[in-house]
Amino acid sequence: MKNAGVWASIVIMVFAGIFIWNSTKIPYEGELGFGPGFFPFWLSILLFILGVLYFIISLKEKIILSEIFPKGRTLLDFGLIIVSMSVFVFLVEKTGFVIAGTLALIILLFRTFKWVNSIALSFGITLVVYIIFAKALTIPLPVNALGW
Amino acid sequence: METIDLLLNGFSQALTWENLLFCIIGVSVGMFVGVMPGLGPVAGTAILIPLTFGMDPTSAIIMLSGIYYGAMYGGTITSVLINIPGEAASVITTLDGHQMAKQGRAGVALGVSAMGSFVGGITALLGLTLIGPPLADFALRFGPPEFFSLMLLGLMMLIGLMGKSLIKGFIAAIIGLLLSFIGIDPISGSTRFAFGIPEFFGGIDFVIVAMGLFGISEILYNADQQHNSEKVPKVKGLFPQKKEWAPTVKSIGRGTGIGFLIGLVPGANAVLSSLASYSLEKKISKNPDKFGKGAIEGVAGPESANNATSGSSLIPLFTLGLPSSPTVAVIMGAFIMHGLQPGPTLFRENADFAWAVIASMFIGNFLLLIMNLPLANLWAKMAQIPYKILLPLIVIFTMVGAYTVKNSVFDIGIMIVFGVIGYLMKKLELPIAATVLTIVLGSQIESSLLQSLAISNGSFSIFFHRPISIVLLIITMIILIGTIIAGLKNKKELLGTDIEI
Repeated sequence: MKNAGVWASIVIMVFAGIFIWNSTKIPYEGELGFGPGFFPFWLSILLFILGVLYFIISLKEKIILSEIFPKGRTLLDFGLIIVSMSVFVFLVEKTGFVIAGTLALIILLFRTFKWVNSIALSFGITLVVYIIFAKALTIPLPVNALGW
Repeated sequence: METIDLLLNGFSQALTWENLLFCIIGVSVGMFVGVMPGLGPVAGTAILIPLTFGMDPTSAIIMLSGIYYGAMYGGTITSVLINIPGEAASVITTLDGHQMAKQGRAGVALGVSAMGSFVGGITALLGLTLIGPPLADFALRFGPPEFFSLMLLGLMMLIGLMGKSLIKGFIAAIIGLLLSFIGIDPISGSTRFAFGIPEFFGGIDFVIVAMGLFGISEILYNADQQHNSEKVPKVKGLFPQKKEWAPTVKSIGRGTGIGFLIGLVPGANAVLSSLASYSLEKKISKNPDKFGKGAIEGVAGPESANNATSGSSLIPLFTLGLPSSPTVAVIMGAFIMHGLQPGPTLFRENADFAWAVIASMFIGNFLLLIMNLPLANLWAKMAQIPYKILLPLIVIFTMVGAYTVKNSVFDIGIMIVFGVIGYLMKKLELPIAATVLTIVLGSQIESSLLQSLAISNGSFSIFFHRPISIVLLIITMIILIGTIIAGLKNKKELLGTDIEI
């Protein structure tokens, strides 16, 4: 199964199925007529039908799965961006903005610059952004026990 | 006369130092976004919305609108000087604009573009000034059934014009609608589709989804894009030769007209208008062979057209509350976020705001004209900043932006997920714009439908018994049938998906 369209249509049908199932748990009728379950229910049914149609057209108009996902160098660049942002999300509340931001940027920069330079640049950028947002714009960014 | 008084009042507000500053920041960021390949007006506005949280709504919208129309000016510079369109609407300008630069006429190409952009932009704003209030007055007659039919028509136009497949367009739109239902239903108060996750009770924030689908997906998409760094030619002599003035002025006029009309149609964005203008110029030219070899009309027409479109596309937003392109949808999200409801009541209930924003756009266009020409070389050099240097800045700025929406790290995670989804949607040719538009309009579409059905005791005939509603539905049907026929004949190859990004 290397047809990306087929996989996408299956995901859409599953997504629609989850919404159909959940909309049956919401009142279909309300005090003034139709309730909060009415519109989502019919929309998810329609989405499911469209998912089936998408499945059918995907069998004719093939988009190869390997063409969808990046490969080689692009895959590495793609992966590093995701890893960098994920590291930030997992660490920021524990380590504070400056450390999490610096680590996230090192992941993006270490292939372009020497280690020392990428660490210095990452720390510098994060610190400037921290000062702009947390100090100048007084936006409460997550901080560690030391207050940064 | 009343309109002129209101506009003058708008100028007095737009010229306060605070609003003027945000107008300058907006158009400068817009120029930057425009010249930078890989960063377009949609991603630019989506990423910068969180910055406007603490701002006065008027200043916020003045700044975000500045990014939108500023990008149209910026994109031209890199198209002409280094053959890299900074944003999609300027792609067509590379054909003749860069050829002119190679012939030592870069200054003339930029001069003509700037003049055309200015005329196009200002004409569209005059249109907004003159057509806006009466159209909004007309739309005040609309009740829930008319609004439902109107939104259906807007969606149909968007789906019909964007993307190559009607089925994919509908899928993208319905996904957006369903996502807009997550959280507490404002009418009944019941929680829907939260799946037991407390962060979903308040719904998925539109800004987070837009930042993910447009911003992060764009970052991922450009991950491996290497941009060439052609030498920037010197810019000198901004005006065309004497014999070129007449064709230039005529092209600007035609481009402005086409662009203005196209901007009124949801889904037909600035890319389409510059393409349409270029085709027209080539078609009516006595010497079509010169196109692609440095024809001045090939620069003047499309550049006027894309700016006219970016201005006139605000008319449906200000008067009907209907966004006609992805960037306008993002700006509409910002309206709602700041407690303003775009639509027919805007000119009445928030007249000061509406006129201040319109006046600021006149000022912004003038500022762009000044910034564009003397600083063209500087802007072009900026476009040569390697993407790898820019990437960390965009990434950290985007994450901070997502966090500031609700001071929630969970939101950054959601944004990343939508970034990956947006990347896959682009690859699968599912139009992201349709998803974002329906997330913005979702609650309004549902409430107008339910209110209509409540009025008619549950009968759908209400949509067919009211004259305005039935006319709108008939037009919707015509577009639907037309799109199906065009799809069958494969006539939609020219229209790419999400081309404004």
